[in-house]
Amino acid sequence: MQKTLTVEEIKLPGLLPKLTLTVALIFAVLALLILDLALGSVHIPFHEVINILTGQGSDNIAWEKIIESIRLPKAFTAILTGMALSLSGLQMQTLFRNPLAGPSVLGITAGASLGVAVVMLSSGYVTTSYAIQQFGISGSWLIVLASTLGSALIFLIVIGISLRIHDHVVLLIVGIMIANVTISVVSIWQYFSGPEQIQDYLIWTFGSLSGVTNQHLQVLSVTVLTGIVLTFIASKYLNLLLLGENYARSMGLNTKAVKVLIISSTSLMAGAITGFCGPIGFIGIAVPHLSRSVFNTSDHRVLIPMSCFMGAALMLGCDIIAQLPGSQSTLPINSVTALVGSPVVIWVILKRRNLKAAF
Amino acid sequence: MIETQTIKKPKIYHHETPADPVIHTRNLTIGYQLKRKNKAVAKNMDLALCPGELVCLLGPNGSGKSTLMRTLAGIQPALSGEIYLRDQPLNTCSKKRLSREMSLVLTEKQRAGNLSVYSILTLGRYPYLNWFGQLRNEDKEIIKWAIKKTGIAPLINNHIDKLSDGEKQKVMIARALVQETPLIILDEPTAHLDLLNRIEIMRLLKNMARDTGKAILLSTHELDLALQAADIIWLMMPDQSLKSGAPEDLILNGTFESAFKKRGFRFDGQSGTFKFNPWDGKKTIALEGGQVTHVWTRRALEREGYGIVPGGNLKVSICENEGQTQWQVECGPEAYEFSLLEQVIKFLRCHDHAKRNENGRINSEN
Repeated sequence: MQKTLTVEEIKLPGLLPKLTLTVALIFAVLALLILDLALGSVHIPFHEVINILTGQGSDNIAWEKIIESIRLPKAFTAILTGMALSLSGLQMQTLFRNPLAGPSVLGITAGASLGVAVVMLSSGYVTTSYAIQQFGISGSWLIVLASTLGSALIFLIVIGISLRIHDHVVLLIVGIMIANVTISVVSIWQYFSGPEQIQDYLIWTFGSLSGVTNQHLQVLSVTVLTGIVLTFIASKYLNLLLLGENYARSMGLNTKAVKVLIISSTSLMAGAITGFCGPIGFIGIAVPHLSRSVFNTSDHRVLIPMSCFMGAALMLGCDIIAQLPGSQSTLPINSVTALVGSPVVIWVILKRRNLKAAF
Repeated sequence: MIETQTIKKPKIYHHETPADPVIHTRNLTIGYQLKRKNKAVAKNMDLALCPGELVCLLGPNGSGKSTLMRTLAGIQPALSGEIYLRDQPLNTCSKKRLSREMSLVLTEKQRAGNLSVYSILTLGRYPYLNWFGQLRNEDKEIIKWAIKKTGIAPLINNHIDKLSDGEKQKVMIARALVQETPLIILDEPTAHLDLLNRIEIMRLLKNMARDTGKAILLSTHELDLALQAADIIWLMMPDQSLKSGAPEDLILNGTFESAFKKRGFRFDGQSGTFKFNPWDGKKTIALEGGQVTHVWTRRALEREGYGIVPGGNLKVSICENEGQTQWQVECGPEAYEFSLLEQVIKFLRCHDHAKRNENGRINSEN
C-alpha cells in the first residue's frame, strides 16, 4: 500500500495560516473598528466616520471632535488591549503548559492593582478615572506609574524565583500565591480606608478604555508594541518549548534567557494595560484558546499574529456592547468581556473539540 | 618433518581498528547530588561511541541508564571523570555546539500539543536557522531526506496527537535526523510499542547507523532485539561498573550471566534468553525424535518443569510421518499416544499428580 517516494516527490506543506481566514479576520477587525467609532451615545453615520478617518473632515464639527479626541483613542486602546492581553495569555499558557494560565497568573495584574491601591487608598486627592482625565497628564501619570511600579516589583520577584526554580508547575503555583498575597494586602488596605477611596479603587477595577487620552495613547502604544515585537521574537522559542524543556535545551535553546524574555514581554504588556485601563480579565485566557481552536494548531508562528487580530476584534466588539448603543449609559468593560466573550468561546471550543490536543 | 616446515603459516597481525569516537569518557562516575552528598549510580566508566555504530545500553530499572544518557547529553553534570565530545571536554562546549553534535529522542510522553508533523520536523532545524527562523531550501531538502529515511511521508500533514505511538516515535526520530548531528541519543525508543513496531524502529536505527555513519546510542529493555541489532552493548553491572563489548563477546565471556545472576534469573548462553522456567532438578524426562517438533516439545516439557535428560524417568518419542505428528509417552511398562502437545502436557500433569498423591500416602502410612 505504501509506495516508497523519492525525495523529489515529497511535498512539504505550508506553515502559514489559511489565507481566507486571515483576510476575514483582518476585515472583521476593520469593520468592528468603524462600527465602534460610529456607535455610542451619539450615533454618527458610517460614511461620515469614513470621511473623518480619511481626513476629508465632516460638516458636523462635534462629530469630528467626538471621533478624534474620544472614540479614536478609545478604539485604539481597545485594539492594543486586545492584542497585549491575548499575547500575554498565549505566552503564559505555553510557558506553563497550562490551559488556565493567563496574564494574571504571575501576579503581574495583582501587582499593578497594589500600586494603584497605594495611590488611591493612601492619598485621596487624585481620584476616579474621570478625575484622572480632568487632571490631565500629571494625575493619571501617577496612577500609571504606580501600577507599572507595582507590576515591576512583582515581576522582579517572579523573575528572581524563576531563575532558581526549573519546574514550571512550581513556578506557576508560586506565581499564583504571590498574586494572592498581593490581593489580600490590597483588601486589608481597603478594609481600613474611607468609603470614597474604596469607591474610586472599585471603579478602577471595573476597567475602562476611555481613561486613555491621546497623550497616554502614545506611551501605551510604544510599550505594547515593544511587547508585541518581543513576543514575535519569542515565537520560535515558544515553539521549541512546546516539545518540552529538555528537547528545547538539546536544540541549543538558552531556556533561562527565553524565560526572562517571555516573562518580561508579558509583564510589560499586562502591566501597561492594567495601569491604563484597569484589570481586564478574560481576554488573556480566552483568545489564545479561541485561535488555537479556530486555526487548529499550536504553532506560534500562526498563533501570535492570529491572536493579535482575534484579541483586537473581540475587544472592539466588547467595547461596542459596553457603549450600549443608543443609550446614555455605559457598562464596565471588565464585565462585558466575560459576559459576551464566554459564550463565544464555549461555543467555538465545544464545536471544534480540538483543544485537548494542545495540552 | 621437512614437509611440515615448508607449509606456510599465515602471518598473524593484531588488527586495531582506528577509533575516532564521537564521544568518549574517561573514568566517568555518574549519579545524583543529594543534600550535598554524592550518590553514585555507576562508577569508573571508560566508554567510546564511534561513527556508524549502534550501541544499546542495557540494565535493570534504577541501574542508571537514564542518568548515563542525561550525563552524556550534558543535561546533568557528571560526579567525576571527563566526557569528551571529539577532543573537547563536554562541559566546555557551548549549547550551540552541542545542538549540532548530538540530538535527543526522549521517553517523556510527547505532549507537543496541536502541532503538525511537519511543524515538529522544522523545529529540528532550529540550531541552523537565522534570527528570523526562515527555512531555506537546503533546510527543506534535509527535512525531505529525513522524511524519506524514516518513511513518514504519508503522515506529514497529520497532527502529532492523531498518530499511533510507533508513528510518533518515528516522527521524533525524524526530528533528530533533521537536526543533522553525528550522534543521536535515544532514551528507550521502543517503550510503549508493540513487537512489530519495536522491530521496525530498531531496524530503522540500525540502517541509519550503517547508511549515514551516525553514532546511535539507545537504552532499552529489549534484550532479544538488542542482542540482534546492536554493534556494541553497554551493560550496567550490579557492582556499578559498566561492561562494553559486542553482544556475542559478552555472552561468551559470561558477562551477561553475571549481570543478571544476582536477581535470581538465569541467562541461557545458548539461546540468548532468560530461562523462564528454571528446572528444580527433580523431574526428568527423555526426548527422542523430531526436528522442529523436537524444539517445541522441549519447550513445552521445560515449561512443565521437566529436565530433558537422556535416561529420564519418563520418555517421550516423537513420530512424524506424512505430516502427522504423534507423541508417545512411555512411563514404566505403559505407553500412551497423543496427537497434540496439549494432551501430552495434560497427561504428564495428571501422572505427576497421581504420583505425588501416592508418595503422600506412603509418607502418611509411615
